[in-house]
Amino acid sequence: MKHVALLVLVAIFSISPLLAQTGDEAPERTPVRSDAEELKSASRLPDAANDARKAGAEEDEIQNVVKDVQEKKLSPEEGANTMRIMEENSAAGISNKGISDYVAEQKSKGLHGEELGQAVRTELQARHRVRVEEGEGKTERKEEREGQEAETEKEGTQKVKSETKEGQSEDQSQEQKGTMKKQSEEQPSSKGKGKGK
Amino acid sequence: MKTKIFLIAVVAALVIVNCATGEEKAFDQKTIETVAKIAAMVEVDELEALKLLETEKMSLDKYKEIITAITLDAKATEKFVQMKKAFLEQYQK
Repeated sequence: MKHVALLVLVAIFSISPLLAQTGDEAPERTPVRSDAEELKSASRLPDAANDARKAGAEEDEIQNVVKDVQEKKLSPEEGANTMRIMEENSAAGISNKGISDYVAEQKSKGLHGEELGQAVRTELQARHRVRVEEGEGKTERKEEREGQEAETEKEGTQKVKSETKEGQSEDQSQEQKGTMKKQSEEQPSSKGKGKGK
Repeated sequence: MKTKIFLIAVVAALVIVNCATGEEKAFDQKTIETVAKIAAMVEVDELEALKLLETEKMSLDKYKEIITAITLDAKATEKFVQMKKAFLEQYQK
């Protein structure tokens, strides 16, 4: 029985690495390149990542791009290029959010190398423009709203003022009317007194 | 007996989980130094770098695997970059 248990253990140990590998499907590889070129582009990957990090690029995006290279969805050169673009964007204050997804999407559409880099650059600039425009739109709308509110407030205060003025004038006119009536009432009696004399 | 089987099953499960998640850190200080040396050499002489790769008994795929693993780790990346710079200065002299 001891032997059986041992055998099971050995079998599991020998199978487990194979099990771990089954998840990694053979990914499609980018055009065949010479070993020296591959070595060179792979060697530049950490430099690109380091520069992107220093420029303030989003760590998640860097990780995703490197993982894509690791899983051979991207070539090391494409990964390095993407991170160079991320570095440029971060330096210019442009967000890199969603770049890794976009790269993967474009890659699945068949874009490679320089074309891919160009597409990523254009897309990020377009996204940035939209964000800026949205931001401007928001501030414009906010200013408009504030302007309208100020106008309505002004109108309201003016109305209140005019109403109070009207009220005051009405009161005054009523007071005047009252005094006039009193005077008119007093006058006939004095007349009457005079007549009686 | 049941306890033994249970223990074996636990060990086996741990091994399988470890292999499946398998993001092993394939680098230490020495490995970083080796790949940094090759990376610096490739900037000076590509053929010599390939020879160096052979001398280190490292395949190109293994080299790329280590490089990407280093790149995922910010501290290791920084170390690599510094070492590469130092080796590059040395080779360019």
